[in-house]
Amino acid sequence: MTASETGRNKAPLSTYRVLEIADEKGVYCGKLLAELGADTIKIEKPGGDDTRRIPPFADDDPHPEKGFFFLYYNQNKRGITLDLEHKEGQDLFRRLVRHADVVIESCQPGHLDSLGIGYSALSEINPRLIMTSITGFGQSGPYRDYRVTELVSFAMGGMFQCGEPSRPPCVSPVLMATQCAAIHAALATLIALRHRGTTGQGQHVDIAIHDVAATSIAEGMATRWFNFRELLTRQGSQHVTAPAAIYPCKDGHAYVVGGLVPGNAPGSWPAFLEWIGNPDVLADDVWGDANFRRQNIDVVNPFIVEHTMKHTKEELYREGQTRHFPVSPVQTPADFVDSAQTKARKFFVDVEHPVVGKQTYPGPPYKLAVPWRTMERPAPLVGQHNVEVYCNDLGMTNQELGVMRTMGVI
Amino acid sequence: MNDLPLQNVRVISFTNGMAGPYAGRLLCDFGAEVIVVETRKRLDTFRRPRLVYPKDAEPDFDRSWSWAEYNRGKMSISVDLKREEGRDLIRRLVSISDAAIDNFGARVLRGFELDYRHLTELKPDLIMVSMQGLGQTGPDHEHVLWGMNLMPLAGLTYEWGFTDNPTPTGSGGFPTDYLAGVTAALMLIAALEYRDRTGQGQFIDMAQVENAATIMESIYMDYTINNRLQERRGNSSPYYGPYGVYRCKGSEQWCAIEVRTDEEWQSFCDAIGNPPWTDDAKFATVLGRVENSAELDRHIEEWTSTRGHLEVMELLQRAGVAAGAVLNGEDQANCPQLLHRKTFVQIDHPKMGVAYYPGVVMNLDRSPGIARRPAMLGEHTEYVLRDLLGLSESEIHELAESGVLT
Repeated sequence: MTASETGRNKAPLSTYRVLEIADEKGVYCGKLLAELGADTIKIEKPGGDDTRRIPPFADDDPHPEKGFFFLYYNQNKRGITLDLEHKEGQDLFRRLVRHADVVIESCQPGHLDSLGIGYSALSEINPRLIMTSITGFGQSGPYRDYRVTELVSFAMGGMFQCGEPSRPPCVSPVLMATQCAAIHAALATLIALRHRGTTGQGQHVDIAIHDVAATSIAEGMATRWFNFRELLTRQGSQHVTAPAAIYPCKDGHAYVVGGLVPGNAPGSWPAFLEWIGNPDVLADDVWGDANFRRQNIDVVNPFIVEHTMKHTKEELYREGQTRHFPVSPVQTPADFVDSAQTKARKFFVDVEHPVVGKQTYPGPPYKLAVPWRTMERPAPLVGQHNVEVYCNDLGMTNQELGVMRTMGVI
Repeated sequence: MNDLPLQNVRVISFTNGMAGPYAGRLLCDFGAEVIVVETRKRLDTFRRPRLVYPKDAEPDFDRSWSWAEYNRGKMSISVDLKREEGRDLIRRLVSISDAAIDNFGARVLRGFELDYRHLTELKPDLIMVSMQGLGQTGPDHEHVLWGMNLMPLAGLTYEWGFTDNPTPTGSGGFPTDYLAGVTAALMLIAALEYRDRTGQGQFIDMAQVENAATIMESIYMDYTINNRLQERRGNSSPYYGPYGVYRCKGSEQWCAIEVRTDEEWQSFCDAIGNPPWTDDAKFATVLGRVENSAELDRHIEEWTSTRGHLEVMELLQRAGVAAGAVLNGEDQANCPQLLHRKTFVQIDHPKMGVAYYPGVVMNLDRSPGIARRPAMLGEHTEYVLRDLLGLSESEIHELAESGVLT
């Protein structure tokens, strides 16, 4: 047993094997399980997965081993190639499923069934199997066959409230809806594993990005309509309380919140007025009412801006915090990387990869009291673990592997 | 109810607002007994009755909609943690529980000596997930931060908005709170797996800003590896076209459209009836469509602006083109897919009556979850003290009389 295998035994999911057939909807689910110690085998089509072409790339070189998306989301996984459209490939996949606990897949609903490797077929081979399907709209319903991308998911699940009233709604710069659903899929998989632990039964987990987004990042806009007949609309960065919004400052922007604490205490409205220099116009007691301020925020804002423009975002952050206001800088990614807080927590980690070398990646967002030792491998190269998985794990001979390669199955 | 997968898991919830409560909501759908520690003396921000259900009811923290939505399915006990007797009850409760979730400010539980260091002395195999904005360590971790401060700190707000607008927009909401909540729930169950196999507990110190940065991987790696600071892109893509959010007929109706391949472009042209401009050679390739996106978008908006957003979506999706109407709350409430999936469910409540709630969205076909009603403040105090901690009626009476259970 190698050192890395010993390490894996000390992680929560070290006794499980996961097969992943996933595009961008499923890779984060696989990453989370792999990070928790599951032996996660990523199955790519011969020549490599399409997600290897997602930009940007290291050195802007569009090389299949250099895409940041692929490098990041496939850490700790093993990688094999297999053509699932090919009959021999389907047979090999069924052999892999016999020794697997979980299959993660994000194909269009019905696609794996059409290949003879859908849940019902696989559960006959392995009744303990958990299949976690992650799709745009789920395995059933009128939109089941709709095409999905993050832009589509976010449009249908929260974008209406993002942006300024005078402009179109604005999409998020990340895979917000997609990744939110992927984390739910990982949690649902663990819950299914616990069910299997007590009953011995596998099952099919059906995660729809549309369901998840509508009940999470859409911020209750549906329940607000159902229960109150109110439409939530976009208000830029302005929060329902006021002042609470993004304000410009000397070197960028800061999120400034003031006056939420009642009375005269630190964090209160009088304390906020004192901070911005007690403008005469706002001296009247009527401004002490948060609803009144919200309704007349256009009167208040120029005085806040006059103050914020005299300071840097960092000065506003430090001074605001000293005065107990929830003020924060609008950090650039560079600010975040370089901040003392991020550095103290060692959030960014170095990862050594055979093609891109030693580089800095975002690490896990948590620290553990007693670190689970997990495997630490970079994303696999195309077909990197073919011999290991097909010969060592499945018991194929080198000759058989050679035949499969010649046929284009592997 | 008896065969839900998390039925024997008890979680104590030291939570406020959204991120922490969301974690517990996901767990109790599958049978976990999640007990929220509350007090009338310092209400959860979401218990404050700013919006009550039904709309015209008297202000009442048991009718506060925000709390109900994020805490449905849990139990509630009212205990004043500022009293030693109250803290003692919580210590005893934690010692017969499996896990705790904490999204209070970093100083709060430390001040009560109910942080992991203290609780683990009573319950060595305790699992605790703390999920402060900046975590439990580092020079700034005790800062006063609300949900709206976290996306700005994570670098996400900076990247979110239109190119020609000097001010980033960010989101009016708190999408990263949900990412934090579900990640916390995931880590808690993973720790449970580990404890069941090894007997060892765990402390998970999660920083919500780091969790948000986790899904900004390409933006961060472009910076750390290519030394490039990405700028805001609005609703445009440097890689695909058409790509955008297009104005449709009527007020505030929009539809997002994304075409990636030449094949999809052909389907798109067919779906909109192949108007003459689609023959223009400059739109024949992906590169041409990206380079001429402003002109392309104007043509597309001519077509979309004569149709409703749902009609645009349906026409394009029928042709195999990725299109999504920008749904508002009413659209979601009427969405045939969400209705088919029972994504929102009606639940009865003794004070609020029947209302719509988010349903169970993790669909497990053999062990489906259950969406249960929210608790009234302190509704389960007696159950916890009598049935779980074994206190006598007179002991409970005495605690109540002295104001500990308020």
